[in-house]
Amino acid sequence: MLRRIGLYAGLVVAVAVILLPVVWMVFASVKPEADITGNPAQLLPEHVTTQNYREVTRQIPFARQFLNSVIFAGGVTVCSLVFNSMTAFALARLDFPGKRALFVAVILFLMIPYQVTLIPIYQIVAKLGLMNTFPGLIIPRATNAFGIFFLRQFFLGIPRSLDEAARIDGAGDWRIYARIILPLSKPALLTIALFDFMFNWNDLLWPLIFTTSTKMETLPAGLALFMGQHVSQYGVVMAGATLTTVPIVIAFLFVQRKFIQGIATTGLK
Amino acid sequence: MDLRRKLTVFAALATLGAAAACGGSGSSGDKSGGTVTLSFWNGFTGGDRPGVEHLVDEFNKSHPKIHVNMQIMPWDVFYQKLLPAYGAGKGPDMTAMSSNQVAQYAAKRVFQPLDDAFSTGLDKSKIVPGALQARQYAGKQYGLPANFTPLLLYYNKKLFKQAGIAAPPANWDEWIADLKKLTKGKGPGGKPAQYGLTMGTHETVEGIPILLAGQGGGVIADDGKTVTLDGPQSIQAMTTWTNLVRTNHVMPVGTSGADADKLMQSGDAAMEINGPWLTSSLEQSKIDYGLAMVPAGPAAQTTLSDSVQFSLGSRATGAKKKAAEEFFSYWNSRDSQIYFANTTGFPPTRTDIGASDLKNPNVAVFAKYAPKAVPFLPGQTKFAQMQSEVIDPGFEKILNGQGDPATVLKQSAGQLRTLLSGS
Amino acid sequence: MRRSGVRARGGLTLRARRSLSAYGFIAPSVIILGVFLAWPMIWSLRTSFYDASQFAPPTFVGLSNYRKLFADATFRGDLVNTLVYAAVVTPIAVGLALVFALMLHRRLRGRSFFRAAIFLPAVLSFGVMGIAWDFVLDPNIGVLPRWLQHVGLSLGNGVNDPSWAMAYVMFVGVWKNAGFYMVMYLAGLSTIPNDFYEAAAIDGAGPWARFRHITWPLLSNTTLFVFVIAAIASLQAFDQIFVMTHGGPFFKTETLVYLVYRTGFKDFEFGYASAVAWVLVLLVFVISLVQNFYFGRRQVKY
Repeated sequence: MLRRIGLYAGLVVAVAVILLPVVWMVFASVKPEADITGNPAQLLPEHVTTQNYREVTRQIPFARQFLNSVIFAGGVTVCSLVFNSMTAFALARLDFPGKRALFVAVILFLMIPYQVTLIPIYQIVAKLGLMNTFPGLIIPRATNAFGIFFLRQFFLGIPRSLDEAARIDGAGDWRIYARIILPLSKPALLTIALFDFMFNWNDLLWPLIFTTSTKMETLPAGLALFMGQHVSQYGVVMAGATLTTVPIVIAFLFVQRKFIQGIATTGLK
Repeated sequence: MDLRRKLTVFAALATLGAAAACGGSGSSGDKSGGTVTLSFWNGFTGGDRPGVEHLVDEFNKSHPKIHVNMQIMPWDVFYQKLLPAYGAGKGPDMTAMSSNQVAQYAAKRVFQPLDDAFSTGLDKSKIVPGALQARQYAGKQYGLPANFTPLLLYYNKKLFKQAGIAAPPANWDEWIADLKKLTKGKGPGGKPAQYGLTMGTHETVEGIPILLAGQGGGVIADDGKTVTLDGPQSIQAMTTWTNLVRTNHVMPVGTSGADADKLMQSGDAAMEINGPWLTSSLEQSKIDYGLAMVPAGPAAQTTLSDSVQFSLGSRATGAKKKAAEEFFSYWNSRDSQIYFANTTGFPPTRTDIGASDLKNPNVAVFAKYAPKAVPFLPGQTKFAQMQSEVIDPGFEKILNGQGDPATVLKQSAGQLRTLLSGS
Repeated sequence: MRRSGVRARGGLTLRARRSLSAYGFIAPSVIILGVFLAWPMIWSLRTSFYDASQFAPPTFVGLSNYRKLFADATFRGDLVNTLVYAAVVTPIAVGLALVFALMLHRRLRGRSFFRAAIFLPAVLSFGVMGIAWDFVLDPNIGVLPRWLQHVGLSLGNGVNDPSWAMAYVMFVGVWKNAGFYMVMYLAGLSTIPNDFYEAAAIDGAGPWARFRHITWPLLSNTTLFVFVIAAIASLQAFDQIFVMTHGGPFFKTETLVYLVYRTGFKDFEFGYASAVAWVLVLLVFVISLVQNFYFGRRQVKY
C-alpha cells in the first residue's frame, strides 16, 4: 500500500513538472495579452477570453494551412512508412549483396545534422523543378534513416518461425512482408508514424525553405507570423499552438493502449 | 486484402498530394500580360505585418503593371533560406533585412547598388540621413530604408512617481541616482524585486555601445577600421556600468531582448532602452510609460539606430529594377510613411512629416530624435560574427563578473582587429 | 543477418532471384537516400576541403579547415559542451525512461493519462515550448522561481547564469525525449513472459532481484537500441539551444551542431561548417561503434 502511494506521488510530481509548460500554454491561450506579460508569475487565468482563438482564425488562413500541414505531414508519414518498412524488412529478413554496406550507411545517415545537408538538398530540389510543390516538400523526406533503423530492430524481434512456416507454404517475400511482418508490427508502425507525423507537423523551417508562395504555407509558418522580431503576441501564438496540439493528443490517447500492448505478442526484444 | 486496401489508400493519397502540388505550383509566371513580378521576402512578422501587407496591397492595386509577390517569415528562417536560395540562383528580387546584415551580402555581390533610385523619383534630401548611412558599402548605396528608428529611454511613470522622481534623467549623474532609487525589494533568489533598468544583451538591438559612446568611447570608430573598444573611455564606461550592475544590481544580467521587455511589461523594471516596437506591448500591458532621449553621458548625448532596409538582388535588372525603384519611391513617399508610422509605431523615414501628421505622440518622440541616432557598425562585412561572437559575449562575460572590463575588452578588441584585417 | 546463408540452398539462380527481390524492397529508399542524403553528405565532405561561401566559386584549401578547427578555442569548447551534454543527458533520459516504463508497465489507475503526459513533450513543437519554458523559468518573473521562492529555494539567475545555463538546456533535452524512450521500454517490457516473474516469486526473489536477474537482462536489446538513439540525439542537440539560449551566455551552451549552423548560415563559411559537421559525424560513429562493441561483448544479440 505504502509503495503504491509512493508510486503515485512520484508519478504525480513527475507529470506535474512535465506538463507545466503545456499547462502554461493552454492557460496563456485563454488569457488576455495584458495578463500574460503583465502578471507572468500567475499561472491560472484570472479573466478568461476567447479573443486569442478568434484572432488566430481571423488573421491567418487557418483551414488552408491546416490542410497544407495535413498533406505535407501526412504525405511524408505515409510514404516513409511504406518505404522504411520495405527497406527494414529487407535488412531484417532478406539476404543480398551490399546489405551490410546499406546498414552501415543507414547508421551513418542517422548522424548527419540537417544543417549541413540543407544547401545541397535545396540545389537538388531546385534542379528537379520541385520547388514550391508538395512533391518537393515530401519526396526528400519520403524515407529516413531513423525509421529504417527503428523498424528493422522491431522486425528482428518477430520470431522467424512464423515466416519460415509461410515460406514452406510457398509464400514469397512480398506476401511475408505484407501478411506476416506488417500486421504483427502494427504497434511499431503506429509509433513511428506518430513520430514522423509530429516531427513534420511541427517543422517550421523545412516547408518555409522549399516554398515561395503563401498558399503553400503550413501551420507553424502561419503561427510564426505572430512572433515578431522584438514583440510577440504570446496569447495568439499559444492559442494557435493549442489548436494544433489538441488533435494529436486525442489521437495519442486513442491509439496508445493499442500500440504498447499490441507489442506484447511480437515486437522489440 | 489488408495490404491491397492499404496500397489503394496510399495511391489515392499520393495522387491527391500530387494534384494538390500541381495546383499550388502554377505561380511562376514572370511576365503574364506585360506585368513585372517582383518576389519580395522579409521578416516583418508580429506587429509590423499588417501595415506592411496593407502597403504592398495598395502598391499592387495602384500599379497594375507591377506585382509584388511578398513572403513573410521569421527572420531566422529568412536568413537560413536566403543563403541556399541565392546560392542556387533562386533568390528573391527584393529583400528587406536588418541594415547590419547588408554589407555582408553586398560584399558577396548578391545585391546591386541602388544609387540610381535617387534619380528616378526618390528624393534623397527628404530621407533621414542616418537611414541612408546605415546601408552603405564601398561608397555605394546597397539599401534603402524600409524603416529607421532611434533607440530611446522608456520609463515607467508609476514607478518614478512612487520613488518621488519627477522627470526622466537628463544626464548620467541623475540617471545613476535614479537607478539606485528604483532598484529595490527582494525577488526570487535574493535578487531585487524591482530593477531600475533592463536591457537585453543578446538577440536584440545593442544597448551597451550607447553607454560607451556617452563616455566618448565606442566599438569601432566611424572610419570603420579603428577599434575603440579597448580605448580608455570605453573601459571607463564599462567599469562604471559593471559596478552598477554587479554591486547595485540595477539591471538583471544576461537577459535576451524579449526577456528584458517582459520585465518592463510586468512593471518589474523602471527603465529600458529600446525601439518603438515596445510601445504597443506596454500599452497592452497597461503600463503608464514615458519616452526620453538616452541621458547625456560625460562626453556625449547619443543613441544608436535600428533600421530595416530594402535591397535588390543583383539578377533583378531591366524592367525588374525599374519596378523595384518605383516600389522604393512609393514606400518612402509621404503618404506611405504617414500610414506606416501610424500603424506600426515606427517613426517615418522622411524628415518632412511633422508631429501633426502622427496620431501617436510617442511616434513623434521617436521621429524627433531620429536625426540624432547613428547606426551601429555600418558597412561591416563581418557584422554578424563581430556581434554574436565577439561583442555580445564579451559584454556578457564582464557583466557576469568573469574577467574585469579592461582585460575582456582588450581581448575582444584584439578579436575585432583580426576580423577587420581579414575582410 | 549471418544466419541467412542457411536458407540459400537453391543454388545461384535462386540466390540471384532472392537478391533481386530484396533490391525491389530497398529500391525506393535507396534512391531517395542516395539523392537526398548520400549525395549531400558527399557534397559536404567535399566542401569541407574548400573555402566555400555559397556565393563565389569555392577554392580548394586542403586540410586547412580542419587545421583551423583544432586551433579554434570555440570549437574545442563546443566539443567539450557536446560531449558533456551527451554524457549527462543520454543516461538520465534513458534511465528516467526505464523508471517511468517500470512504473507504468503494471496495472494502475490513470495509466493511460500518465503515459500520454510523459510522452507528450516528444510530439510538441520546440518553437512553442521554448517560449513556454522561457516564461515558466524566467529567473526574475517566471512562475517556477516565484513558487520556489515561497519555499525558500532559489534558481539564481537561471538560464542566464553561465554556470547553470547548460543544466537548463539539458533539463529541457531530457524533458523532450524521455517519453519517447519510455514507449520503447514499455514495448520491451511487454515482451517479457509473465511466467519468469511467477517462477521468481516462488523462489522468493525480491523486487530488486527480479529486476536485476530478469527484467534488466531481458531488456538489454531495448537498452542498447534506446542508448544508441539517445546518444545520437543528444550529440546533435540543437533545437532547445536555438530557442532558449542561442548558445550563450558566451558559448557556454553552444554545441557542435549549433556551431555548424552559426558558421554556415551566419558567417557564410560553409567549408568550415562542413568540416565541423564531419568531425561530429565521425565522433557519433565512433561512439556508436563503442556502444555496439560494449553491449555486444555482453552476449546480446544485435
